[in-house]
Amino acid sequence: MRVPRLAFTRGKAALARLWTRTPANPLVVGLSELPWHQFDRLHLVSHRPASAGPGGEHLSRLRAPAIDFFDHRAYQVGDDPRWIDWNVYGRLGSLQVKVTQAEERLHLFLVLDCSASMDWGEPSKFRRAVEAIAALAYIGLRQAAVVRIVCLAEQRRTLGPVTGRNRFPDVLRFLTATAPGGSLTLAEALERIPTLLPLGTQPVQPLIVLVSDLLVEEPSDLARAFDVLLGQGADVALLHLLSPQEESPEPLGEVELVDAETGQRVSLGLTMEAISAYRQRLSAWLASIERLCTERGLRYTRACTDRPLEWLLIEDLRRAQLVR
Amino acid sequence: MVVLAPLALTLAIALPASVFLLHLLRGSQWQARVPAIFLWQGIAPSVAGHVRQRLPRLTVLFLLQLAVAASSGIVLARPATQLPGVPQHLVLVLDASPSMHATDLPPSRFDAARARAESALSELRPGDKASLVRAGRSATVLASGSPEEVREALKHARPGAATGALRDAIALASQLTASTPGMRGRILVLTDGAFPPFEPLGALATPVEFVAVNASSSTGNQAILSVQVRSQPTARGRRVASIELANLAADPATLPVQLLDAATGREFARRSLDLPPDSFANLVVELPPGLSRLSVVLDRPQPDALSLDDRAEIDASFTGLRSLQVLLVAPTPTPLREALEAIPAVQLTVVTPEAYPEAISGADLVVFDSLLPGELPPKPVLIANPPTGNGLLPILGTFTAASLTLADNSHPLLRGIDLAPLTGVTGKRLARLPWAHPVLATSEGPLILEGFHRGSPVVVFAFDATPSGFDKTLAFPLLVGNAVERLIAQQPDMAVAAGQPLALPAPSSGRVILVYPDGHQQTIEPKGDQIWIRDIDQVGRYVVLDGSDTQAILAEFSVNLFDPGESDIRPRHDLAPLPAARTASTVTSTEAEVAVREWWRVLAVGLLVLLGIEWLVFTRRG
Repeated sequence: MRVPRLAFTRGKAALARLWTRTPANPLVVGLSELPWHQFDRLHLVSHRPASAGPGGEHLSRLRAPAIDFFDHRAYQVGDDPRWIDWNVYGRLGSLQVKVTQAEERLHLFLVLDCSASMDWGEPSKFRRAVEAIAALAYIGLRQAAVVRIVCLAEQRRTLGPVTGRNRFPDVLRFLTATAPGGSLTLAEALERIPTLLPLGTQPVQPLIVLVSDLLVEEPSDLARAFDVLLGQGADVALLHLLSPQEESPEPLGEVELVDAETGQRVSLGLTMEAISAYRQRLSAWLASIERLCTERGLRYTRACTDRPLEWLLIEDLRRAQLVR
Repeated sequence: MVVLAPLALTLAIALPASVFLLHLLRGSQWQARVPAIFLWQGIAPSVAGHVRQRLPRLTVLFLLQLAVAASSGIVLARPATQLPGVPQHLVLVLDASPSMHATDLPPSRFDAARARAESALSELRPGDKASLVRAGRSATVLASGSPEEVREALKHARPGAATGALRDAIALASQLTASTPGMRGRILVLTDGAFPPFEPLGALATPVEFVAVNASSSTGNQAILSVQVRSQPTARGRRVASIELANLAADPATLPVQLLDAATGREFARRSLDLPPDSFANLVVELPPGLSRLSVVLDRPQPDALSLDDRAEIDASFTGLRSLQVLLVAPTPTPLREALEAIPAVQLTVVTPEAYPEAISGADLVVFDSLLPGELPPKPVLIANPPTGNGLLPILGTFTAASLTLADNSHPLLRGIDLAPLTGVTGKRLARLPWAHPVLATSEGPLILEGFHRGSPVVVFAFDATPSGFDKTLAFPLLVGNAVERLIAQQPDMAVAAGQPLALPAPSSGRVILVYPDGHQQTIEPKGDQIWIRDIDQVGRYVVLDGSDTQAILAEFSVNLFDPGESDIRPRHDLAPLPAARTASTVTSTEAEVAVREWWRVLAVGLLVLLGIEWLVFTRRG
């Protein structure tokens, strides 16, 4: 039996226990082989202020009162006179107010597409998606974020909110107990995510990371779902996973293609010409997805599942400014 | 290589063909699962090509499926290899009892059995051995060797007229198979099932299979079971024939009985008798004066299945016709006198030893009681209690209370005798007599002997009946009566039962010629002073001719099938196989299965391996 390489990282005990219980689960094996120590240096980046309470590592919308000095600005009517820096007034003769910055916990929503289409390709899109969600949860918990994991399937499953590193085993147990299957209308499922947002006096602006293959025939449906999320003030990031076989199908000859989710069938000759036509369609479809994300300021990252996860996180997501 | 279930070989073709058709009709297209179909929809056929039926692709999985299907058929066909090392020894036991003459299976049951035997012989392979045992009057090995030799002997085999010694024949067959321990023994008994039950056989070396000729249990038979001629009690000198008839069938029958003078062939009486099913009846007919030979015939328009018992012939010249002059030579009055006087036809003359030479001339039978002359007269002689020191029968001593070691109850001398009292008599231990053989013997020596002394029949009672009280028992007069009848009957012109050996005094020329009822002749060499005729296995009239150039008739006798058991030709047994007692040195039918080694188990394992490989290929392909 292989020993998980997670020997000196956090959560190693949880993974070891999982390994012992379910050694045959490929998800556990895949998670045990991740270079967790490399993720310690990564930080999630949210374009929205954190608002999940003090103790976090993300900037809050609150500028004062706080301990950490950030800047000076000219006094305006209505400012609290207690924040006027009288030393500056003595030297310069103008009223300057001290601006401080606060850090709060981040609301992090990790959304996993668990439809049957994710259970495809070698390596499987679902497996890579689970690994990515686990890694992002690990990073988020390390940053004291309030993490929720949402598995979109015919029956939605959720975990959270969880906070703190010691809850990472719960995350792993939840993810390894997840299995792909069934049909899913992704746009509708995304539109229902705001119902999970916590109610409060202040609006919650979470960071929503969606890991999916985004296989929606009409991108406009997806755009409408994103608009709903953005309308809630969420910061949405997308990790679009594709398998190598999706990008480059093999010429199998006379085939009957069966949709993994709907069971719909199409018979055709899978020739080089047909594959070429498919790839053109795929490119166009990908471009439309990317375009609608760009138009809405979403952070979009497309990755192939044969790409190692550490590269995906350290290079691709950093390039997309989801992590730094 | 042989195939034990050749029909299953069609599956070896049909199953792969089915798999091929399945792939051709349904599986010409691969089924490929894709995450989303919308990216593939609408691709023009000009680009994607035309979807059409075509031959299945020769992939490893497809070839494995074909191999599995073909292997399944081959396994079901049970291929096997024959082991050359175990040849077969087939012993055919042929029931030669009279019922095998029955013609309900044309031409006869015996011929049907012969055909079955030839069929069994034709199944033998080179290197196999065959033997033929005839269960006639006695069990006889007709041939043993190659199937060709046995086939040749089978052509000359004939059914007999005596009850078949089937039990002895099976025992003999078992010995034959046991004598070839390196061969797989097989005993086939070819019979019609119409034989009396026999005592259980001991341990057999080989299981016995009964092959029944298809004799019908509804086949009936009408028979003459016995014919006796006796004096009419009310009219001295007139004779009647008592004829016992039987209807051994499930239906009633009318039996027309014709009585003929066998010498002239003239019919002198005709009767008709109605008999219900499975019944017996006696018919008494007065015989005309001067009739010497009586022939009784069931004169039916349609003969029944067995003709052997439809005709009987007996000699009527002596039986009850004339009085028997018996000369008893005894020193004192003895119990033998009373026993002789009790025989109705006997006119007894008792003389002392001194008066014996004068009285012997008119005697038909001479009885010596407790004495012997120096020379026996040329007449039938009964010797009772021979004295010590006589010159004819050397006596070595006496004995008492010896257990019986030889007793043939069917012998005419012992018929109807309770032998138990004889074990207590005081016996005379005789030296071996070259002209006599024992009929009843004990562990100490013979008690009753018979033979021919210078051409005359002699019976010897080598015991003293008085001390043990045997002369007071009922067995004593019966024994004396049997002896008188035996001594008189062993003269020329007599009636003989089928299967019984017959001894005749040897003629001066030595050999004799026996003419059988079917006309063929046999030359018989004398054995001492006697001619032994043993092969009496036909029904009819036998003639014994002098072997010299004159070929004078020495004797004639008739053999009749007076056997109710054989006349009942209906099968009476279910002919269940007899199991063998397995011994280490015997190759039995169980090992016969080893002679054919089946390969289906090995092939089935191979089939499982193929299935495993197919599963591996399938799972790896996804």
